[in-house]
Amino acid sequence: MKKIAVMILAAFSLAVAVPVFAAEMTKETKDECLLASKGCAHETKTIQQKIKSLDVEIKKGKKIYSAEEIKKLEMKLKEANDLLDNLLKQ
Amino acid sequence: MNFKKTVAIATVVGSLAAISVPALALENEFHGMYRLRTMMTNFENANTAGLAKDAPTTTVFEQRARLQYIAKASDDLKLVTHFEMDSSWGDTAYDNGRGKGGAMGADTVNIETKSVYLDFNCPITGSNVKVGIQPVSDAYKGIFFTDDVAGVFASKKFAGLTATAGFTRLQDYNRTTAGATPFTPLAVANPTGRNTLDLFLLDAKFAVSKDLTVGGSYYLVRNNPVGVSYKNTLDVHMVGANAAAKFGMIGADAFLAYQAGSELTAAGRDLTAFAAQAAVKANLDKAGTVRANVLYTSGGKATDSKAKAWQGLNSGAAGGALGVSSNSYYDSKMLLLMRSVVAMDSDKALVNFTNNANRGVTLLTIGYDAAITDKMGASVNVGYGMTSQKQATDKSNSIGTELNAQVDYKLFSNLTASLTGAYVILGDAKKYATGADTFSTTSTVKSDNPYLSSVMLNYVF
Repeated sequence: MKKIAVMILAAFSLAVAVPVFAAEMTKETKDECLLASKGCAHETKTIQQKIKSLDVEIKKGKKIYSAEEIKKLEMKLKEANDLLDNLLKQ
Repeated sequence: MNFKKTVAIATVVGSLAAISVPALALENEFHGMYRLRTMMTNFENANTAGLAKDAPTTTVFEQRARLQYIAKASDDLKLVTHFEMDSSWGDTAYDNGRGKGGAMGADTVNIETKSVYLDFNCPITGSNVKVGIQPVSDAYKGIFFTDDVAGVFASKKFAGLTATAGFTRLQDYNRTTAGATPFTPLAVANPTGRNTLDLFLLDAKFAVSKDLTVGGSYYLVRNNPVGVSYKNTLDVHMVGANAAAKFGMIGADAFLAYQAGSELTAAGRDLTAFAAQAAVKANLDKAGTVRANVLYTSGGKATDSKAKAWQGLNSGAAGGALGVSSNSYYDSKMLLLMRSVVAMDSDKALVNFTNNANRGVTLLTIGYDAAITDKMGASVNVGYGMTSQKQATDKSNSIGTELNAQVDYKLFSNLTASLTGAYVILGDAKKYATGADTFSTTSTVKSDNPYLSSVMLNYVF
């Protein structure tokens, strides 16, 4: 019984660790993260990218998002624009 | 405990820790900017008076880096921190203090804390609350105040209406070493929290439609410096109304604000001052954008029975009443006539304060922005400024006419190089003055017209 429990837990541990292995490159592909700082696992968005992607999502409109969700995205867009203003002004 | 049990327990603990991590995870957001501004100028220099006859041409290299870290627990809770490092090339090295460390050797303790505040959506009231040191502007394009302040602001949406209430402690005079009374711990006569400059704010914006927004505000500045009793505080009450609308390719906004109470720095006279502004922008699509702005802040004379000069807030260790300007009108896009949005240590303008030494300011500007290619843009601006109230000693109302132009080129999506030129033809109110903030009196020595040329790099991420 204990053995089964240990096996199940070990398998579960491996399952949660899989994403880490998935990011590794195979022998046939280039590591774009090392080569050109692209596609890195923990890449974060710049403020310009954040504004652009929020804008793109808002433009998808009510076909994709509910009215409430669009309001939330618009609020986030305003926050991101304010943040950019505060970075740049005196 | 045998080995198998130990392995089993370790595996269980490890697995639980692994699956628990996402629940504790913070979203870490990093943003920032770097700006290098190299200037050749006879005016925009931190160590000159600004205006002079035969004012020497100086070369100034200023840089600013800002780093912002946001620890976001969820959409409803985040801590925002924002730091700044300013230096002028060649200033000092191995030093301690803000705005230094640009000389050979560098190694200077010069990190400034610009903002530290908690931003959360209150689960009880449903309002958004920002508490701490944060950037705040009035609803009037900053002509009353725009700066980093310590306080609490709560805003809530009711359908199309957004209401905001706030309080900020702008200055505690007994904690200001350069103020009237140096801070002494356990002070009895002047304890902390007794002599303060506070701002109370109520603001509302209502979206009438997608293209029309109207708003109103009430601000109270309570100034209680050392030596003034609480019942005699110097209070400025301000009410204002603003509106912004879009009509096809035309965007327009306007505001009107009135101040009553007393002057911020002098007791004895009732205050009755006002300001008004209108701006229009036409988006001509590929042909560019045309802008026009007009601003008026009232001025007054010392002999008036009521004080009529527009009051603006100022900051700095000097005591809050004077010192560094915390008001501006960046919308004008002027570089020498009004404070420039990109200025750093050498921040200097012919109109540094919207109060303008009790003269007020009347400003008219027009500008044009062109997007030449995806990477290249250009803008030109012309502005004329005059005092709203001429003083007995002034030669004229005319401050001057500024012409400026700028070409921007995007080296990368987040790095822009800009080439800028600006020139002011001084009016008689400034032509014989010997400082940026002073006015012509009886001198017959003409000061040189101010100019500025600059190359700037701006990296934002």
